[in-house]
Amino acid sequence: MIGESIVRQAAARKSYRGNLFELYAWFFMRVSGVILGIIVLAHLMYQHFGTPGVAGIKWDTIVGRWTDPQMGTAWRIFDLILLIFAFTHGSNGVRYVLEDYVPDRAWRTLLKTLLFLVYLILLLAGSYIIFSFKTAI
Amino acid sequence: MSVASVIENAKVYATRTWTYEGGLGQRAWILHRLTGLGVFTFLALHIIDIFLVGFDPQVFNALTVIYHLPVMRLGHIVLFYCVIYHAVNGARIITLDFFPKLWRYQKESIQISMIVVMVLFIPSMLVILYEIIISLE
Repeated sequence: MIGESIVRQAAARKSYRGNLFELYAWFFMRVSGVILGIIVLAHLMYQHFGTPGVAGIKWDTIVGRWTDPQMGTAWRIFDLILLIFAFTHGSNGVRYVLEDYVPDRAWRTLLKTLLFLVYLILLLAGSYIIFSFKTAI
Repeated sequence: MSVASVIENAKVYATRTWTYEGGLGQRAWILHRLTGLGVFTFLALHIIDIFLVGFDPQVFNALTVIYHLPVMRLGHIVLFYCVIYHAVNGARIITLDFFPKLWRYQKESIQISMIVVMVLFIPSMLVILYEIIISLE
């Protein structure tokens, strides 16, 4: 894969020393960006303009999809992929903004730690709710 | 360091970002960040609101009314713009990153992406505006 070879080339470069985290973060932003470009636009268009339309979405609609005997698992997996990719991509983007706009090291560390905590909490909360309904309604 | 100085620093850096004369590429980058932060903010709220399906259906349905207010529907238009711009400009960045020779056509690539954004955004905007007007009657 073209992206992987770029990562390997960069890592093999003699001038490059130290942690490869930022390189993988860069690569992740590209890969998740491609995936999100497809699934987020599909999600947005379907939820707004599909059935029942954005004004018709109620508790029954959401839980009904997740607990549907045929399509329930597919809905859950799709929503979980959406959550993980979108929120990881977004949180890393906010981290980039913090790196650029908070020059004080102590504050930057503090804000990045808070961001990481919010990331973990919302990711766990979101994953929990997707899988918390056991029986069909 | 105090909170005030963190905000002051961020303002200084933001002013530099805004006044830096990097041309069209710089403007596209600023817009990419702003739309990214916009989508991230909505996504965090969206994870929280979907987490609320774990509570009483009546409470959740009552809360969805907030999202269906005309002013929030106008917010949907902003959200559509943010997601569409971020996706199209992101696709442009990925393409140029993996085919570095194309960077010399950066200006043209931005012009093309602006057209693609409008092709996707304007119909969505018109449909949402139409829905708002219908719901007001």
